[in-house]
Amino acid sequence: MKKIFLALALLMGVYSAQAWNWVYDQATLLLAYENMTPKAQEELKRYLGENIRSQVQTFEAARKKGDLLETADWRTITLDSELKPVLADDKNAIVQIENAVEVVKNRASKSEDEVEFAIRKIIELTIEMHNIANVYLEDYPYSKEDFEYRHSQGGYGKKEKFKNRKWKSLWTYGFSVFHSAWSAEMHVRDLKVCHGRYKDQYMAGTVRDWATDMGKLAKPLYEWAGPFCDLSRQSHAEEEERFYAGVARASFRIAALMNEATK
Amino acid sequence: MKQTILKTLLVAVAAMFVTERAVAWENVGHAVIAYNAERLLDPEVKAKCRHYLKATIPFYATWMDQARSIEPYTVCDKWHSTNIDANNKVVVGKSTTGAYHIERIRKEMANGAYKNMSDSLVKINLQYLIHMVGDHHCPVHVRWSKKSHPQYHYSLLNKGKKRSPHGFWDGAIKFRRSNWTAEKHFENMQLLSPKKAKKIQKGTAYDWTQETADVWRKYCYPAMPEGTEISKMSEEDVATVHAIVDKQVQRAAYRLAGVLTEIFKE
Repeated sequence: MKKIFLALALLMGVYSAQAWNWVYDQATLLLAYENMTPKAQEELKRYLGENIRSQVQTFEAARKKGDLLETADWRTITLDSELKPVLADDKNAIVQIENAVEVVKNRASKSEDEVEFAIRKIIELTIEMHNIANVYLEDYPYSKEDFEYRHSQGGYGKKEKFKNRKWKSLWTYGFSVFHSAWSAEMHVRDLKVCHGRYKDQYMAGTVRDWATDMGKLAKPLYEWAGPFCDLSRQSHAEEEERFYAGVARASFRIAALMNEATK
Repeated sequence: MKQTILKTLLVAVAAMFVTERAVAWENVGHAVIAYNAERLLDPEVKAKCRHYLKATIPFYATWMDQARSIEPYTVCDKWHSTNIDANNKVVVGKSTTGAYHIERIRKEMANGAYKNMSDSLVKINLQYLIHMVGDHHCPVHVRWSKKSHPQYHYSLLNKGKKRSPHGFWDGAIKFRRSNWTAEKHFENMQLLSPKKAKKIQKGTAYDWTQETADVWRKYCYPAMPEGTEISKMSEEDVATVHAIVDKQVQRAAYRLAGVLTEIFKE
């Protein structure tokens, strides 16, 4: 199974060579790894292999090949008006991550494939639930949609010009453009400088608390953003901070989950 | 009919202008210069930069390109380049040029004066310096008047279509090596001895801009004259372009590191 995922991941790397979200995901996992206990690091390598940076976006790669299609339903979190997680079934990141942690905790009685899959779920779904595009707020129904918004093309001091773009693409690729030529390691260093001081705060709590935290991060955004909203250069700069806040949280929380699951 | 043609021409010229200004050194060049400069800093200075920026230096490499559309920073719209006069000499003391503001900020922050500034002012000043020092080493970030230097207002060709030299040189760092990371560019950069580094870091932003203008006149312009077909450039021609750009990136990185050291080194 490990070999299949690795092959898929490498394939994904080729597909996404120009898509920098691949680099952000790598950075997230590398930073998570740095913050894992030696035991968690050991178990991660035991089940996924030595090449840590390749172990991202493997579900997406599998889906592109027509496999693991059910994982597409596990990426999101839904929050009610009080920003409490809505958990009607297991088609959400929260329940899937919680189940995965239990599998890793009880790994002695599980097959190697089951544990490997559970670790992948912890990594990939934690990343997914910290992407604003996957945070649905019931009070803002369009938060679930891939709506069009108006993206600033600049204007250099004059009136800005805008072009229609897709909302979810913004939160996947839209902030990488200003960090061309950045490696995953450069992002790791930057995340540590920007967010390292919040590490304990980010790592504390449960997956459900983190979902509420993401709701709090997303809510001020949806108070003004929606279909055909203008994303000015000013707003883009501000939203980049929100984007990075999600990346940093995911990094430290993957570490927290792996530490908890392997202690 | 006449009006339509005129309108089309105006739109085309405006589009060219916007494109030219949109790509300043491009994001890659600025990221590389900032990253290389950070790698050259001693730990004390690097820590101070990160303390004020609350980020690594490359994070703010392209900030000024965004800020020029954002109030209250639209004032910096003209600071990305500096004028050259009819005698090929850099124009000194003009407040609508970047070199002026590099020197202004250096003076204002010198000899520990940054300690009397608010943290947010120190941060903004650093963000300006990180970008402007880079910009002033880009061969097309010297402004040649069309009146005094009409020969520098021309077109290159890319697959038969006109392309401005500005657009080409801004992105030349990644020309035929678009997959290089900043780290790879650092490995590629020739490191200098402390003595040589000190020598290169001497002078003012005006001196560096003058040097950049000379690089344009002596190397860039002859290497890529009017009508050069970019898509048909030989490996040798590409190597020449890379040699010019890499030298400018090296100078910019050492000088940015020098400026930051001069400000923060106790």
